[in-house]
Amino acid sequence: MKPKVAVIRFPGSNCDRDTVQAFQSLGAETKIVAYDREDLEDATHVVLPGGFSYGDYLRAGALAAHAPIMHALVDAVGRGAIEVLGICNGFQILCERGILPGALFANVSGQFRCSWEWVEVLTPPARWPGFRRGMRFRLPIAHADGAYRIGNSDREALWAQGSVFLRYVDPDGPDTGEYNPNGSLEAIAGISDGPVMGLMPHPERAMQPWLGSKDGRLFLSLWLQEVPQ
Amino acid sequence: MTQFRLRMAVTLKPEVLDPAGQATQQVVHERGFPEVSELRIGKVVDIAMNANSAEDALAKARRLGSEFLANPVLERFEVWVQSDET
Repeated sequence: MKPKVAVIRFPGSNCDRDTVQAFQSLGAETKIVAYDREDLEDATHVVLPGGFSYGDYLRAGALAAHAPIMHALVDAVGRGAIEVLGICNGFQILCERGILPGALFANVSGQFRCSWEWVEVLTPPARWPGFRRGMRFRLPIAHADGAYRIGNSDREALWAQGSVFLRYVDPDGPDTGEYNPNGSLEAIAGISDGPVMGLMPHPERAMQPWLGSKDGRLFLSLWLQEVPQ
Repeated sequence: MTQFRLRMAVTLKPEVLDPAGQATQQVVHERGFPEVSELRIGKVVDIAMNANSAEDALAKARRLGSEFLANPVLERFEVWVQSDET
């Protein structure tokens, strides 16, 4: 079945159009769906894009997590009807809603971090076998609240369930496991759980060599489970 | 029904690093208060609600705190009744 991608636009989303363009450039039928809709129509793939939904009021992603469209999303995930990708603020929204475990908190540096980073697949998600262990992507990050945190009691389960999907790595230094642009637990950049994936870096901003990297093409293709172009 | 005014303090758990608090504490030192040894920033939420009793109002507010206003991974909260208006 051809993927039908819905990109959810919340008040304050600002990567929605980039994300639509990125998926369209991969040949996927893609449209924007507004946050106040109550159904996802015929979408097979749903993307929560980056931005500052609801101005990051209360906590980043906290208010968007309870927008009307999110009830439809929770329902569709429960029925196994869709695959979900949360990018940056979208990842924060998924955690705030409890669709993914843990939370994203202020970068340890106290600074907004806007930089190119390398991320590496630590645990290939069962749902997306195209992501192989050790695969690396060069992707940009741009966030103030990207430090992944999880309660001690849930930490072991995160590893046991194979949810630790992506981590930041230093391509120039020795692989000490200590490179960490935002102070995330174990340098975690993204996690996955069943049909849901979330990451802080922006693959949709890395679609052409002249943007700095085209690794986002491979990343989003693997998420769509389409043959990369 | 009585209207109760409640105040909720949402604070970071002690083990959670607070970059905003640290940056603020540094400027507090520079402004001539070197004796400040700890400064952590949280949120105060003022709530007015109708309820049959202070206990009912507190129970609702606690649910609101644990389900939404505080993130249990990072934060904890206290809530108390400020006043009631019959």
